[in-house]
Amino acid sequence: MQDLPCTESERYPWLTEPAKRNLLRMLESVHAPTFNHQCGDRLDPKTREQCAEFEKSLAGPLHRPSEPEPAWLNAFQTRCVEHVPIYRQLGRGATRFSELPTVGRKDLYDQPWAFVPDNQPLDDLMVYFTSGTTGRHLDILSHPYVSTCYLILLKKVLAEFGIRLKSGPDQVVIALVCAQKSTYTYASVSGYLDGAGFIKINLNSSDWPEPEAIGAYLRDMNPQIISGDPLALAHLRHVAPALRPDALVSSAMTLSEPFAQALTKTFECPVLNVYSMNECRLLAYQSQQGFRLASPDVYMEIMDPDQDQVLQPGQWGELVVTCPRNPFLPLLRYRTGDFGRLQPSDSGWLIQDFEGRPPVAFRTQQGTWINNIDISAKLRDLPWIQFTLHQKKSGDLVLELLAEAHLIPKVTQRLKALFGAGQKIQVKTFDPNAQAKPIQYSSVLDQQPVNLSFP
Amino acid sequence: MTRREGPPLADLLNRMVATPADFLREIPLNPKLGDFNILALINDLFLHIDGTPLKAHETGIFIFKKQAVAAYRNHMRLAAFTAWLLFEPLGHQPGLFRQHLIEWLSKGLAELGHWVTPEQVRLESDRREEFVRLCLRALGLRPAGESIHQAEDRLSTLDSAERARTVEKARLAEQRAREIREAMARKRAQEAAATYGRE
Repeated sequence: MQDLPCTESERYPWLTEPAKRNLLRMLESVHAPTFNHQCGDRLDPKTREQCAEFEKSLAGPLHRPSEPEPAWLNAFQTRCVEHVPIYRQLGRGATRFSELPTVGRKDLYDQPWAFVPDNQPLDDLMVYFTSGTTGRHLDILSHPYVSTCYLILLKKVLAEFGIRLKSGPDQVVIALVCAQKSTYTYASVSGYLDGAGFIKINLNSSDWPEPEAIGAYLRDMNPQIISGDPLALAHLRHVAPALRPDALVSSAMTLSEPFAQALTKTFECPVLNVYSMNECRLLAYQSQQGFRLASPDVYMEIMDPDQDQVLQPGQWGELVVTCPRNPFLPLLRYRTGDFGRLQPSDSGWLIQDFEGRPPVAFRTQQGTWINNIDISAKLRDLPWIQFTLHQKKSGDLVLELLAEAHLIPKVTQRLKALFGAGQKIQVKTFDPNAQAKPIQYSSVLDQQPVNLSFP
Repeated sequence: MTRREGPPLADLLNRMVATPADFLREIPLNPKLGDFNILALINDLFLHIDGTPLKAHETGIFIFKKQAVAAYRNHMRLAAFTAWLLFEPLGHQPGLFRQHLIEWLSKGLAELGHWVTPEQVRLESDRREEFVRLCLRALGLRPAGESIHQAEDRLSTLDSAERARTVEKARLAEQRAREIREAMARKRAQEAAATYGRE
């Protein structure tokens, strides 16, 4: 569907002349791709003020493991149960936060409107759609505020790494690089960053004047930060290895530590791995100890995937988030579909052994069962870019791997060490274009209850 | 249906207003972890009214099974509240109410629990009277001094008012859902705001 364009004043209610010049510079460069879309930040004065409040709130303390539930939680629960249809329906009668039932993606599929508070005006409603991991179309309702909150959080996370996110209309601060069959591409400017530029480009696309234009355009735009999933960042190493951004930001897929190191070596900058989801955008970022929550407006719990039972710190289970950030989608005990364990630390909660999927059981040659986490742990120190592993009815494995050729025997060797020497492994090259977000682990034999308490 | 004459309506309404806080308290999901055991309370009610405690197969509904926490809690609070309401006024009448009472405490209050809390029942006069009348009807009783026809007529009036409120609420909820769906259809075809990272 061709999007109905906004007017320029709807797209950029604040647009200044210098910002407009910055936009034209990104659009009209001789190396520029044919952008197929237009997109602004839709930041009106009221939303900007709310964003400023959000930024101020980040100075507040994160929830500490030694403390009881955060102070805002009860008021948020009351507000949701009073004004949000789905929580009114499910949460009435629960007097404590811990008694609230969880909600999940199925609820969003079935009735996204039930998450919209009764008193929320619909003027600023935006609809993103995602096919998610199941391929089923999912509408995510959102607000321009949430998009700019991502920038504010990114600014904070970068500061943790000693990097100051620039602002001003004479530069491009972020390039979001994609390596997909097709995706929206556009150039934009941010009012919150005083007209600083943002480009979203597709490295795979035939939209470029010539193949060399990709590197030349990125060199000319000289983005301070380059973000993308590991596949796109791997592609970037080939097409523009001479770029020297201040940082790379990886998201959406598992980033192996050795591959992150390889990226650092190429681009001579740190690689930040962030945990972000469409429903409320950036939630956490990876540190040496695990993923740290990025903002005090996030309350994370770890739960049994099959019932509303909170697990103890250190136990592995489903991440359940409470976050009031999205005005059209307040999240109250929302099951993320992502897994990990929550560990207390002096500076706040850490998410460790993070996996963006429910657990999958694999059968070994000995007839025993192992979890996908065992496999992740076994392959953790190898610099693969991306892989998927599927177990067929026969027990044979299909490994689709994107990595340098010399790594293939190492990976299969490690898998055989886990599954048994006689394990048959069919190796294919991972096709980055096959699916927008690959399902890393799958098995037709997965009928075994997964042991969630493995180390 | 034959309906016996039960206690006077006013007695029950007064008793409801005077419900001790103990019968309105939170219900612990695991009775072993709290100082209030809903099963014991309901058992006492049956011993007092019927002379026979709950049988094993009758206890399931009062035990939390780790699902629908809010619905369970509200249902059980209504059951505790009802136990107080009926304990004295029904007196000791073995065999007379047992089956009705089981049905009302399990299915009747589970259904009603979708719509009201004990607080709403106690504090809103129409709901107070409606609840008492529903209780009596469920037990095959009518308020003392009223004919069956009068009792039904009065309940129907209260019920109609409640139904009208419920219908109006449902209408407003559906109207809002429709507005959001329409806005979604419009906005889905519109440009959104820039997203700065991949999710």
